[in-house]
Amino acid sequence: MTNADPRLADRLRTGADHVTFDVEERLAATHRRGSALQLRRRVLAGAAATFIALVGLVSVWRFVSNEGHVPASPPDLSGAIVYVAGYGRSDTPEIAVWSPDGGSTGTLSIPWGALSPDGRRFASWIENGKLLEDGYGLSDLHVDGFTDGRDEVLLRDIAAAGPPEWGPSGEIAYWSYAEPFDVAYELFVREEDGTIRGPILTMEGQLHGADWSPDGSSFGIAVGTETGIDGFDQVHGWSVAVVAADGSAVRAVVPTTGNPSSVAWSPDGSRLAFHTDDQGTPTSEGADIWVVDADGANLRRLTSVDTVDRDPVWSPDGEWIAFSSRPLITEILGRPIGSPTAKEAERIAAATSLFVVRPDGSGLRRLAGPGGVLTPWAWLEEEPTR
Amino acid sequence: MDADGIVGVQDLSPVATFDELFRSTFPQVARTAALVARDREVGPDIAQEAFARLFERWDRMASPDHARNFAFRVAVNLARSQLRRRTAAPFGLAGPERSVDAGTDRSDDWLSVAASLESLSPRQRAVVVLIDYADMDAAAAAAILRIRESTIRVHLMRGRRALRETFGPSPEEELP
Repeated sequence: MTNADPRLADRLRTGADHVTFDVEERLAATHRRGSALQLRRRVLAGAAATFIALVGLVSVWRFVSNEGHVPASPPDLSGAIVYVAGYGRSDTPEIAVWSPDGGSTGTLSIPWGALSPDGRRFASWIENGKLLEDGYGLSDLHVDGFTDGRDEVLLRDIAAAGPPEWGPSGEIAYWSYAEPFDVAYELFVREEDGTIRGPILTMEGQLHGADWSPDGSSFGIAVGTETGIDGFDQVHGWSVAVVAADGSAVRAVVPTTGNPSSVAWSPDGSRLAFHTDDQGTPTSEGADIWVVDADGANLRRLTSVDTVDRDPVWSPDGEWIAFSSRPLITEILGRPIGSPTAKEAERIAAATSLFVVRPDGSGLRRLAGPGGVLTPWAWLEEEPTR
Repeated sequence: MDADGIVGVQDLSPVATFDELFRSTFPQVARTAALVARDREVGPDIAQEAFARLFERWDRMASPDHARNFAFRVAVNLARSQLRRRTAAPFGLAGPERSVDAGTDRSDDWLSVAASLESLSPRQRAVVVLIDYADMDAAAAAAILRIRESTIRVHLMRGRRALRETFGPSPEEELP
């Protein structure tokens, strides 16, 4: 028999007492919701495919027909930076493109997902209305032609735990929850021929993706878990690590002082960029862009601790790193980070810019914003147009 | 018996109706979800969703305990799903900024508890909250989280140790 610890129980109750609600109001809402649930599930499954097709067609039309201007580009930058400009209905990302010749500010509304390395296809999870026993929504993996709107379903009924990650040869890695009521997640690879490989890794804690190395031999991952990675006890705590693509080995590249995320391989496979938050520093709300050699040498912070710099993506030639940057919320809102209202969230978004910097820390410059930029997504050799 | 281990027994006395169970259990489920998610705004919403799913399958509940455990199980899992979404965002596309505390009139007590719970893994947090807040025993927590009792005890021990470190010593422990 395990009994509650009275002191901890008292502290937890003291805090939890501040969770307030009207029971009768909640009861009435629960009746309405419960009655609607079953009908909703039936309708969702059938409507999803139709909706996706329609949204895809309309969005592609909007994207190719919309024109506008972005700031003139520095002459030494090339390619096209695809970035999230904002959020549409149901938090659907609105995608825009920056390029040296002006690019397109036409936006494309698409679900969370990933562009293929050539920028021609787009993979995303679409919830199909089915639920795991514990209520977690299952999804199908759709791959759409970014420009022709062609839709193909590659996987069905996956408890997806993060966006899909394209490999260099058309394979797609993905994290999923295998067991209901379990917080552990597993990394799988869907080969281009449809074969499923894995689980390659099993871990708990923060989920921070798996970026394929350019040669497809390994993944760069951010580890934010005290429980480590199953079978690889040497990797735990905040760190950036490299995983063999077959799961046979995990190597810690560098420990980090803050929680790492958004690991990105340089195009030549020699370096890794990532961001960490600034926990433990006076500006703990901040986040910084870092670069490190793949062997753990030459760790370098590229950005200032008094800004929030996130989500690095490499230019195709490996000469630049694009990232999002904004001031601290205390500077934007005049108060410490809390829960921003809708208007405050707009103010925060309006303060965010798209920056580039060289991997040695030089050449820092703003490309777009503030405003109309949330986070870079991919830096392609060519603008993804029809 | 279906996939949930639920048998088709209709008699739920002494808690005869869904509404009775809701009124007696909702507050604790809502606060449990808030603690697990470390977000006091989503706790009642999560509990409401858990009870809606219970309402949907009410005729398949075998007993009041079964129904109560079902509500807790779904709520705890939804709270962890909330954490999944929050933790998954950074590596793909970061969603709109949102802190773990959504209150505008934040209290020190809540902030202190929410901050302390951050030092626990999601599973440790769920175990500690179910046992030390919701006053369940290890067997009930194990049934809700669907892990072994021995594993519950390990998570409980580690979670409590981490919490005690962040809460600091009790007044009695500070006496010479």
